[in-house]
Amino acid sequence: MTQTQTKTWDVAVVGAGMAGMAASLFAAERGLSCIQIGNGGGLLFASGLLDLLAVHPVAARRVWDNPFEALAMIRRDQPDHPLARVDDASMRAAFQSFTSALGDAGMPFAPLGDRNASVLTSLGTPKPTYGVPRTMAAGVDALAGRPPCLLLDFRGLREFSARQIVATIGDTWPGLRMARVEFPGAEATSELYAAHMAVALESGEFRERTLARVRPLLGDARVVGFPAVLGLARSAVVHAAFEEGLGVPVFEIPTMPTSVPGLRLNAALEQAVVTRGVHRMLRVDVASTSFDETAVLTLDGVPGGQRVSARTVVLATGRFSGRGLSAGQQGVTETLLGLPVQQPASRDAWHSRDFLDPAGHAINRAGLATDDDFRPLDATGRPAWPGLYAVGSILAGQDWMREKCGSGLALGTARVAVDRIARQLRAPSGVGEAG
Amino acid sequence: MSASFLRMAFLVSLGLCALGLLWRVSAWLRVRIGSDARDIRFHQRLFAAVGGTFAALFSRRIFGLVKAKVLDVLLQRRLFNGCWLRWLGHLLIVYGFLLLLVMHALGRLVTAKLYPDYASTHDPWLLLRNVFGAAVVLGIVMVAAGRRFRPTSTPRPRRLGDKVFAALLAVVLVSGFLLEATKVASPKAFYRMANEYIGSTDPEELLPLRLAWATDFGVAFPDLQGTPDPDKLAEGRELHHDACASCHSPPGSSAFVSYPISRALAPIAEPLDGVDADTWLLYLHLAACFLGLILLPFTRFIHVLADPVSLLANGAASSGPLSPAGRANRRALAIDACVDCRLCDDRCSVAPIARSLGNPALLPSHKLLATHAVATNPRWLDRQAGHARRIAEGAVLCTTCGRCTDRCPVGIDLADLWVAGRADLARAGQPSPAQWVRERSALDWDEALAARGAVQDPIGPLSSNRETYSACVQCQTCTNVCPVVAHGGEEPGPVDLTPQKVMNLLRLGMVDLAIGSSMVWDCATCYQCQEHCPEGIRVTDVMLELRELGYRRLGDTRERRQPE
Amino acid sequence: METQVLIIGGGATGTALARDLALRGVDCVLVERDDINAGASGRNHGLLHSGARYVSNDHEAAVECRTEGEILKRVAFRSIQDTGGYFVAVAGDDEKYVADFPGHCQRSGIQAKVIDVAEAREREPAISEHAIAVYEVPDASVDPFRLSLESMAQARSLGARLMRRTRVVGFDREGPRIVAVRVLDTVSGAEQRIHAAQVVNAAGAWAREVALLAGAPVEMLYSKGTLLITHGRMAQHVINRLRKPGNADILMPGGTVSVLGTTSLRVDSLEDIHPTVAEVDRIVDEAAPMLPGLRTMRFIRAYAGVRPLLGSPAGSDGRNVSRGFALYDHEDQGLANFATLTGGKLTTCRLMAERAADLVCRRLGVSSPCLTAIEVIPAAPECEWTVPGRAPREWMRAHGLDDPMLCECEMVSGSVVDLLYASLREAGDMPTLTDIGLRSRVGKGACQGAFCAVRTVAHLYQRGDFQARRGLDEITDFFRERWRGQHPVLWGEQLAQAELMEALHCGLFGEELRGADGVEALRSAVSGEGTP
Repeated sequence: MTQTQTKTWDVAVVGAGMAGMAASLFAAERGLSCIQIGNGGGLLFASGLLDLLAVHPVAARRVWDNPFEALAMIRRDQPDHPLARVDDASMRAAFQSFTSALGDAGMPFAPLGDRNASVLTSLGTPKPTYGVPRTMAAGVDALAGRPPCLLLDFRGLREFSARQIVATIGDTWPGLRMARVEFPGAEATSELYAAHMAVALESGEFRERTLARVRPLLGDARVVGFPAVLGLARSAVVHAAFEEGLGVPVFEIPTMPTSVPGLRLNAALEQAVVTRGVHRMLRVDVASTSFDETAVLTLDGVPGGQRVSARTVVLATGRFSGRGLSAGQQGVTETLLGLPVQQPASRDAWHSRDFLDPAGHAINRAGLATDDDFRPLDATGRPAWPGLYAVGSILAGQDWMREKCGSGLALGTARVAVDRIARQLRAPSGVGEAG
Repeated sequence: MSASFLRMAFLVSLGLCALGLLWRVSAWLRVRIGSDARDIRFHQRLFAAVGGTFAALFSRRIFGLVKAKVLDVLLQRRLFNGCWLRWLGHLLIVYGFLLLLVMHALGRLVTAKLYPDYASTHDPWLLLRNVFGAAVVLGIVMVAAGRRFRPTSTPRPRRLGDKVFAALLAVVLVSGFLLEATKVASPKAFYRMANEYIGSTDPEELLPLRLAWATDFGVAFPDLQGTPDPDKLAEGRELHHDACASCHSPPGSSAFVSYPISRALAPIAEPLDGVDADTWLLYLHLAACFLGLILLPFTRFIHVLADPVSLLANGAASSGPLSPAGRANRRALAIDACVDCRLCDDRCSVAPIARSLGNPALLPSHKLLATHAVATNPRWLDRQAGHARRIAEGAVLCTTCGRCTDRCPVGIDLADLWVAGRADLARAGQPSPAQWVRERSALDWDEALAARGAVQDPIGPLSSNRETYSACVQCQTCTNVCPVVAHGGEEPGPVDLTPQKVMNLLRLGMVDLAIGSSMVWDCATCYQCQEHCPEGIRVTDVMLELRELGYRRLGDTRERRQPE
Repeated sequence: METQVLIIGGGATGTALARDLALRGVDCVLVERDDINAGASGRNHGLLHSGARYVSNDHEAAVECRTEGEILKRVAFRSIQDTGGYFVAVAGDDEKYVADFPGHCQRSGIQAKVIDVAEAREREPAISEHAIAVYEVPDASVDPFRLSLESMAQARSLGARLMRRTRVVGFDREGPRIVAVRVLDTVSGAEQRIHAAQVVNAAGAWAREVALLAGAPVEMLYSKGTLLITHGRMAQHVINRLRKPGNADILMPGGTVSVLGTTSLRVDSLEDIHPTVAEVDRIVDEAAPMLPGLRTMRFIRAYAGVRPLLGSPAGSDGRNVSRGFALYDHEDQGLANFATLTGGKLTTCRLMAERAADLVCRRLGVSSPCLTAIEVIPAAPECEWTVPGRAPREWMRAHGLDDPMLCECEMVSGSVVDLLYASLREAGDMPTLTDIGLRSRVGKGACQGAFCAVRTVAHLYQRGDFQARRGLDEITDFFRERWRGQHPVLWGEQLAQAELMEALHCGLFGEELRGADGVEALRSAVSGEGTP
């Protein structure tokens, strides 16, 4: 009998995206025994940036400088918004803890404060965000201060054009220059892939060859921007080597998914949760569940139909991309437990006719309704099971893509849910009913 | 026939045998198997062989040599590990025969020098001769029975030379026992001996001795019937003790094979004497030996030389890799060293596939012959008609797991042979699919298939099922984590398609363009793409399926276009 | 600007007319308010009717389809794939119709061969197991974009001129003659006058508006039709429903996808035409009995077009109104040099053009004969890229180091984009991403442009074709255009794809925040403080 079959876990987290990873991390830090089940993969689409909250109200496209002030506004305007149930202290603690764990795992972040940062994207647009990986931090300063800056791109990295960025924002940044570099060893190819470049740059010899091609282009630039290819597992080392090799601050610019920072985030989080003792079962699906004294999840894809028993379950299965929600022609369902999904009355109302409609698309706000402790409600409006929690983008009432609150949503709700779980597990049974 | 004639016959046979051995040994230095053997000259191989031997003898490797000699050659440890019953049988044959050779055939040269009172009819020599002879017979019976009852795959045809040699061996053994039996029972032999050592052939005079010999030694005197006179018998025995006992032991207890035969022959002893049966049997015995000696180098039984060489070479091998010349020598040696014991077939990890595909060319025993044939006779493959592709299939489906090599009792490096053999197959026009796919670009293959007017037969459960790739969101994760795209495939330069492009070609219904692509064949099946895909698409499994499809469809197309 | 004939409308009809006139040596200018095939010509099945669909209720149309189909298969062979078609009836369909079908076909001269149902299902596994009868007919598929583009390319090579994004805003009349047509360049805002001896109104559904402007109104009905595109091709043949023409009767093979449709809904206005959720669901429901796989099929987009129909509003949905075409000479309305050519279907575009050209030439005194049924339309390099599968093969044949693949879904490379861009520039236009999309497969695959638009824009900046913020504008326009066909089919896997698209373009790139308050403010607030 393996460990998973006989043990009853404190927490079973279903989902391996941002929220699932955060929940596992926080649970382990709290000393709770935690097992994580899911299909890895959604995290690969991350850009590496951690958005707390930047736009509210969405329809007015009001961008906030201070995310906590924006949070306060949300609490006032939309008390059913998931973020309204996350207090500032929990949010700060969540981000601190998360970025600290990432730092330990080789992906350090710039220090967090009270301000959002503006990050230049590969399309030349400024993106408001909160948590910035250290490899991208110098770019925030550069975008703000507009010093003489050199942007580099590599022939073959098709989705990134420094010329495009310079053309798009050059009128407000006179000192912005671009140059194209031939990536060493890629002379015979027409297509380059960011992950391969990042791995190649982890070799010192390769870095030297690249730096040798970049140095002559420096000119009077006081900061240099690259597409995000500076190392995969050892980005801190590669980044530092580039800064040393060029003698000026260096920053990465986030690229289209699947991006290297997304791969880094995925790998770093995997390492972080595993080193904290979370037991992981990837590439398995939950075939069925039963809820009684404990929750029992029967797994598919494991020989023998393995069963996992847990005192609490955190549902962090994501939305449509993550398969936490499934949309048929008739409506949206929640795929694992069939929980009722708050959604527009008919499919007509799901999407606006304008892709960039400032108000966003109503379907994005569909999801699971919960109580203040993030326990999803059943058809009667009560928590479906005392130990069942739902966190992250599966929750109703938020539009993370428009509000720029993806990580805030994932980390904040995971933090609060894990706190409630810890409280629930320490208290004798019966307390779990209370909000 | 005179002794000098016999001696000459022996020397001639020995000489011919030596020449034959020389020729066969030279083949070990001549036969070229594998592409790395192509350019190595004879003298290089000679130096490698000789030099290697000397180097081994005059270095620490001599210990390995000794160890190999003792364990592998003398005790046949590897065969023991393979199957102890076969080991036992073989040991009986080998030692029985060897000891017969040394003690009996070379009695005058060897045994007599060690034991001055050697007399072949005296114990323990008489006993030993029977023991050794019986051991050989028992061993042969065991081995033959084992072959009969062991479940094996298709047997390969025995060459004529092997059959003849085996027959000669049988003749040697049978004639030997018959000869001894005849001699035991032969009165004529008695009289001959009496004449030589006593000086009389008068039956009356020799009666006491005759009685003793009839009773104790089983000579079938026709005139001595009934119970002998005890006084005469005692006298005869005394006489025997003085005159004969130093050279003759009673065969009844020692010659446990020959004596019962002589008892059976006793009734016809006189007619046998009449035709000088013992003399003819002796000539037969010797003739068989000499012929066997001449024939030895040209049959499978060359293994008596090749196997020890092979095992010793293994034992004396240094820790580093062999030089190309050394490797070439070993491969050529391997062909002669193989005794067709089929232990390799038993261990082969793809043997079950050989059965299900109905293609015995996958099995090591068959591959060995094919490897030799392809290397030495370039036209052999062409003459195999429809079998060329099956032979190539046999070479390709080998996983080079090395289990055959581990098992081979004569120390052949089979895994190396298979790899070398593939190069020779490629030269003979049958490279592995991963190589012949590269003969054309993916586009050319697509056009060739279109020209053939290929009917859209079902592709495969994965690649023809829309659900396999309908969830693809074009994120390029598969390509990003692919080490083959990162480092290039077998040919220098970038791959012609990435995993994402292959999946897209499937979705576009352009399978024929994908199956001839080098990406499909360069795929390392590391499963990174499948493990990372956020949508759970079975990218690697699709690649493998496309290979299977490519092998069949492109293979058919290719064969149709092969020049005659 | 002066010309002999001004053609209004760049759809299948207008471009065919330009070709016809050019072949007769008549100088012409074609003005199109948007781009080639912007109307119904670019929003149809792409079906080259054998005519079998109309045998029961419109014999004339059926014959017309048959003869014109044969001509087009000869002169426009590159745009046409002779896929063959099946007519399939399933359990519950009108058996009398099935029984009468062969007779009707025969009367119209259309070959309809009985096919054993099991055999048909072997060749086309998508057909339902409840099929009760199958007939094979000589349907074919036509790429309407390639057809119009090639016609126009030939016309231009013979001297015709094309003015895209040019809208007619008024006519200058003197008595019975139109002396000039006022047109507006919608990109630059400049107006100009075109002096033409003859004017032909071939504006499809917009012909009514144009005719009104000219003071010669025509009666017209608008019938909206919606079609869906599947992810991957479902069938090799055209699959028709063997029943009285109704909704969702036809599944077309469209190269690497299938096109399913259509509906017929009376509409009163040409504004704001887009496919709706209700229409999409109805199409799937109606077609599913014949093709059960549609229930689980992923659709990558939907589109809607408006059919111009003539005649009195008899049927409520316009389907039973004749699809035969009409050529008005407007003489009874006091105009001598104006004609309106409208109605019809894609299959008969050449015939319509011939009739109009005959009229116009008679009025001009030109006696050259019509050559469009004889002359094969020549190939033009910039017209080759709408056909799926062309670009991947070409890329695999040869691609240089500076020729990366930009659209992965449909495997379109940079050199194709460059070629199209160059050909449009050469015609005097400012090419947009949407223009390139129309003339190739870019953005037509599974991702609907989410990834390839970014790569294509980056490429165009690299080539120096795009300057300043043009790329951002183009991406926004491109997605807005693509989105029109997205939202009603967004469920299942396609919704996941759309979610990813929004996560990328809004979540990461923040395209919806352009010009928003606070985006600029954010920058200045951070300036000076920054992170250490």
